[in-house]
Amino acid sequence: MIMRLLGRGLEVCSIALLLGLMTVTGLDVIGRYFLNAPLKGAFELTEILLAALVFTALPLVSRAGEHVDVDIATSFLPARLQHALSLVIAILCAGTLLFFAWRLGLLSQAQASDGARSVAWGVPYAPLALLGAFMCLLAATYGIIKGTAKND
Amino acid sequence: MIESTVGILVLLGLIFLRMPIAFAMSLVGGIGFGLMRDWNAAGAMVGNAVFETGLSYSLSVVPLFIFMGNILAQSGIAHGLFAGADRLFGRMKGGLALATILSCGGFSAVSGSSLATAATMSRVAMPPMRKFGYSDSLASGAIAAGGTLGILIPPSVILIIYGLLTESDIGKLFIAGLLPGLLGIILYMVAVVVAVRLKPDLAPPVTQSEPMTKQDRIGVFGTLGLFVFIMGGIYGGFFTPIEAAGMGAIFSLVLALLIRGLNWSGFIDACRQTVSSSGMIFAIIIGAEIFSAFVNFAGLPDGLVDLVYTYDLSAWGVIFIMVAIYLIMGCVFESLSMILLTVPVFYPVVSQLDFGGGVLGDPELVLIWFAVIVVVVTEISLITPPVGMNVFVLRSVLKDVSLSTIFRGVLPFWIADIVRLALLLAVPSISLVLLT
Repeated sequence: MIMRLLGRGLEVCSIALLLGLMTVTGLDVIGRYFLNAPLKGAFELTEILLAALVFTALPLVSRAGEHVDVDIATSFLPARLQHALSLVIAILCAGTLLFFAWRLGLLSQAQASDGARSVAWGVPYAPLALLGAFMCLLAATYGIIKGTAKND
Repeated sequence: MIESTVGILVLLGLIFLRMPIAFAMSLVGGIGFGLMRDWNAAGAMVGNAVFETGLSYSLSVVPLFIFMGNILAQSGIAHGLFAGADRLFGRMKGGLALATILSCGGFSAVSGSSLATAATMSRVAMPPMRKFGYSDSLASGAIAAGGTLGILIPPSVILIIYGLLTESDIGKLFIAGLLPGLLGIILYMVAVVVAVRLKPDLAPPVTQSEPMTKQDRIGVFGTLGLFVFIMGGIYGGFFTPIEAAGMGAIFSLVLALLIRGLNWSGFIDACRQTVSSSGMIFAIIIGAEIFSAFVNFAGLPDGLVDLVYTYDLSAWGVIFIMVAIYLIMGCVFESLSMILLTVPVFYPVVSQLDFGGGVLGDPELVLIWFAVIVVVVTEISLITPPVGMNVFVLRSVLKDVSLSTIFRGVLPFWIADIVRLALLLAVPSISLVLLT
């Protein structure tokens, strides 16, 4: 129940970020030519929205098991070996994502103490890195769930 | 050099054990960097790569162009394009296959995604071809191959990424892609004509074209309008190639709503698919960034330049070796990861090659010409067995057609692609004439 709510929440957020990204470009270009008033800091808004979109998309891709892989060699192996292998691979991937999460957490702490902010709007960067850390954690969890589930 | 070679071998090993390419690159790159330098620096490098990749303004084109493609795929304009092309070629033998090629070219040009094109066009073009008795192999081959055409015709996500990697002018890259892209359409059509001449039972005698509806006509003009809007906007200086992605997405959304081709569930589907493709692609970009940091620190690009000088390789020799590497890699690698892995390593070498003057006397033009070559080789990889992504997409949509049937149908187009590659290599002016 919680997992379903979480997945739905991620989807809604990611779609909102995507549409926001499109809107920023539109407002900037239309404002520049027709209203003589380009959107303030459109450049950095685009960057922040994109980063947030990438982070929220990551667990969704892991949940669906849609990361690009090559299955030509493993498809010749016996099914049980394939299953064991996919578990090992899932653990390696989760390890990588956990490492990402840990480093993003450290980065977020450093940014919080530096007070790193964007130029035009003064958006602090620390929460963004923290969001990234949380999403990588989530992606690692989804990856493990997917890897232990029955193989397709 | 030894460290990079070991790294690349381990990477390939993990990929063949079915580790997702994105994480295999991250893992090997991070550990390699840590072993060669120190773990703290490796950790900081990885953290920055993950954080900064999303914070890259230019990469905003990736989700927005994909979004544009997915909206167009939902909107039904593909049907109009197919009907329009059918009016042009309906009276020739194999006319529907020719129409498929032309409409695939047109659709993939504006949608920028070969996979979306293959998936969309198989729903539009396959049923009529079956109805009139085209062989499954020609029909599915034409769709799978036709879908690859658009990644060279601007606007092209792959060319933008190449531009970012090599700091080339994206506007110039787009212009360079135009003629080679059109050449691809023409050669594919020649391939259809030759194939039905050699094996007449591939296609039925001349079929009757279906009349175009008003909806179809709007689809054709809408697509042309979108192309003119994007290219005119970029070259008229109204927006940058980066902003063109967002503007194109807005245009296609308005277009889809005007022709009533988009309902709520279609819209949500387009959004969802865009998010998941973007996440997948950015995971690969992050991985490639980490892996590149490792091989750059290990001195791979410089090592390759040295190798060229030590063995006194000619410029053309180097290009041929690179093309061979791409053709081999293309058999197993997904297109974007192939480009992200190779271009940062190859382009310093390519920019130092001496072609002895002519159009290739200018290093900037050499890099632009090389971009076209890389994209064409990537297109070929999309339909090359055993891992031709377009063929797999088609197989998943057309469940009753076997993989070997599609690969057989792709063969004439594969040959046409090799001819095009040879032409583009032999005559760099095809790519560069509009620029000089």
